[in-house]
Amino acid sequence: MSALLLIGWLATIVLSYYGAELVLKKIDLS
Amino acid sequence: MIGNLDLAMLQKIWWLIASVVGSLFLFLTFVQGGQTLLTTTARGELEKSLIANSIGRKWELTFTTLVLFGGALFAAFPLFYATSFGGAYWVWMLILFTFVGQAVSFEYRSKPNNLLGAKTYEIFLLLNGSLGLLLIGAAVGTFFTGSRFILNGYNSVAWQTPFHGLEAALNPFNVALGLFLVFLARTLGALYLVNNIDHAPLTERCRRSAWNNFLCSLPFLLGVLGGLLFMDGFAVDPATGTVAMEPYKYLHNLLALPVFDVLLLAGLVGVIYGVTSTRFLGKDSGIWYAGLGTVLVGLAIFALAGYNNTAFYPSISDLQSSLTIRNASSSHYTLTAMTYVALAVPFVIAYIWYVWKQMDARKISPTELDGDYAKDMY
Amino acid sequence: MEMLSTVDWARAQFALTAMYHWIFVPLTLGLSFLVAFFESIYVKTANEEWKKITKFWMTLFGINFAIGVATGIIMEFEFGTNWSNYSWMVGDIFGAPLAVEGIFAFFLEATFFAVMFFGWERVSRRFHLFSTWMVAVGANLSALWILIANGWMQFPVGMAFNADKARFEMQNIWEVILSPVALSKFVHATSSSFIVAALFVVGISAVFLLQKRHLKAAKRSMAVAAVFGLLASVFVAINGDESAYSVAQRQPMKLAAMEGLYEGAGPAPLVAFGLINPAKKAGDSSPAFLASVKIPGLLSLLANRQSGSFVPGINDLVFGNEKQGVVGAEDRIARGRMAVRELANYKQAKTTGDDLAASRALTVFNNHQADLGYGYLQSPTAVVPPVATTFYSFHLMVVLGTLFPLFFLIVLYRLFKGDIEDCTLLNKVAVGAIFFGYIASQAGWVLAEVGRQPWAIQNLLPVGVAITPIASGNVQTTFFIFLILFTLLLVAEIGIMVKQIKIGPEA
Repeated sequence: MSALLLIGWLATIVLSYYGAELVLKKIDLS
Repeated sequence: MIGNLDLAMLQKIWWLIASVVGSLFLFLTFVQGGQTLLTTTARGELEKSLIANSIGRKWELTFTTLVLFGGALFAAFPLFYATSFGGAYWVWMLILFTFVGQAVSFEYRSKPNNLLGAKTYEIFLLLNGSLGLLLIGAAVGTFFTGSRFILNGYNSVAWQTPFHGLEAALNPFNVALGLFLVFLARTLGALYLVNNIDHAPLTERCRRSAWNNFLCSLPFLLGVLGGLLFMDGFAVDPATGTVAMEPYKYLHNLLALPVFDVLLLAGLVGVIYGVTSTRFLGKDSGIWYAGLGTVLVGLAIFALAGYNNTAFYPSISDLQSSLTIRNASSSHYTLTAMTYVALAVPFVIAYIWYVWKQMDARKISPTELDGDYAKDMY
Repeated sequence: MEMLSTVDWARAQFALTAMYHWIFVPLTLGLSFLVAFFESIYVKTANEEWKKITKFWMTLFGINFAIGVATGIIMEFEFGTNWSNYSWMVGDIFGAPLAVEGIFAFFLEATFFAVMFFGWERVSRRFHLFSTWMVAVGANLSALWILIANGWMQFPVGMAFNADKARFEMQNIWEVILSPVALSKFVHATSSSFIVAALFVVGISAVFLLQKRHLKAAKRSMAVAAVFGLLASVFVAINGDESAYSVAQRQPMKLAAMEGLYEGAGPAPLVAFGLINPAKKAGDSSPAFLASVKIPGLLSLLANRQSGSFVPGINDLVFGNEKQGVVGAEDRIARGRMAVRELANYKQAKTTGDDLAASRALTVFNNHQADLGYGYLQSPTAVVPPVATTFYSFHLMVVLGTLFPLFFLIVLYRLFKGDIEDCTLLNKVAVGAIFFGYIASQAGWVLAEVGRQPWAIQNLLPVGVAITPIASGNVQTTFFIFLILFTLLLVAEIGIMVKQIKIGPEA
């Protein structure tokens, strides 16, 4: 479970960055 | 290999590691020295800004080293951490208050809409560099002069004075060590400013300041060294663990630890060369010789306190409550684990060195303060 | 006026210094990553607009970071100054993570911070970006080690009691580092801090939208922060559930207090909203709540992940519940007192050299060792933490935590619609939301630490025994010095930060 939580933690950070890039592109503010 | 070290060896290693951290801290107090120079030696706002931005890029290293010193002592010698911080409550609280003030001062000093005003922060910096270091020196002095505490059967500390450590300031040896640290810091600060700032009016004054502060520190240094040579010390019987006073104990330690005598001498030479080459030979690299010298002198002093069957945190209220590296340490397991962790320290020093090189490759000049990144400046 | 004791003042001071520190740390933890995001986009796009955005948030980060450090130094030493018995008793385990935090995390932060702020013209663009990321990594690594330490307080593992030294000694550092409590606390404390930072950035960006300035920079910042906030909120819900489950399994009294559950039940309901009866005491017949809205059976599910399962209440844990196999504090105190007595006998026998008596005492001691901490408690009800504080802080945190993802979703929706600069109400809510982030964050720590009372180390060391034996007047004095000093610095910090917000990103 701990391993999953740590992976989830990293995923939150990584997905946030790439998710943000995606959103910026979609709203024409990249 | 680390796993096979016995407890006695680990305790000696950890006293050495703690001493290295403590000695590095002493070198890094060039920041604190620079802080007092900001008030006493800078002329005008430009020079204040130059100093603030110079040492301001290093202040966190010193601060973090102090924090690490506390953490390392907690991990390796928890009875010392508990007894000294819990017992000498007021001396440590006052030291910490000065560091709290220091921590915000670089960032807030010249920011607009400032409730407290630039002057207040400059006073915080001054207090940290003077009172803070004085008290640290006095606290370290008690390693040799002793403190008034008794440990009960459960190692719970009962401090014997209501001043909780402040009484250390009444002992001339402790005060001498404190004042030595203050002037040494100012010396090192001036050397660093010469190394890091490109502004002749200030740096020429700093060259003289390095020399003057070094001279001011000498009587106190001689007082400390003289005191060490002649004072009675706290000797531990290695077989029974009993603590007794021994005349000329630290002199005996000096004789028994020739390696540290060499370090002490080399350190003093380093400091002298660093100061004189800066003052009389126009060199900018003095900080490195004096800095390394400081570390070596620090190592020697800490070694005198803890090695050769000496109680490093002696009690004058009850000799048998005195702390030694044998009775104050963590378990074999913890010291072993921490030794593995300590293997990472060279790596940490390496990246600190690398970043230092990058950041200090070019000196700080007035044009940088007014340049494209003026808004970021301290 | 009743004289407060040293324990009370020591607790008050630790709470004061910790809560002040925790005003600034969450923003550091989350904003460090956001700034790293902004700068990564800058380096990727080479668009100077993104550099301005990066530098603006970096300025606020720096102001916050300084006071975070200032309020942090006392914490490193406060275990020694005010909790010296604790420091000796458990320092063999507790000291190590603190030292490691210094070596691995603080130096990373401290070293690369200088590059982040002053290295723009001294290092390459890539190395500068690397430095910014290193500050974020260093800050979050620091949180890891502190939460390993705190996790160990809540669920002590990997150690054994050394009767000769009357202290705990570490047996297995991996059990300590990899403790499920430690790691779930780490992800929970940091990801909830990501929310605080995201609310901060969205809220201040909303100020710019309301003032009709820096519109592009504000919307860009909002977009990045809202994504971070939303993903963090989802993760917080997941790891929050794990944290609560962990508490239910390992700190049942804390769980019972969190829910105001006096009478254990199976199935047990979850209290969605409740007004605690302030007069309620363990063992009495008054109702636990003045009013409440409960969801049947949900607590059994969340606490034990088993439908219909029994969840012990405060009364079960104090007085025992034989039918449900709950050992009450009454019994544990009796066993604990025996442990304390036999430990003293052991020490005495050792001093006089009576090996037979020593070995006898040690045997009895070992049999009762698990309840040693209980032996120092005055009465069974002493195991009950402040219920109202625990309950309200938990529920406040959860209610706010449920609203945050909705808020970020709405912000993203309006960004997609392209009309967020006209949503006056939303932007005003966004400004207020900054503060709710801080409130939820503090509530979490209040819950964690008040909920574990009376324990400094769960079951093993009550706070009363953990303190530095020093006259309370000293602690009272330092308490007020910290209060005044930190409040002054906080007010100064806010003033400086507000000014930088007024100035805004460089034109």
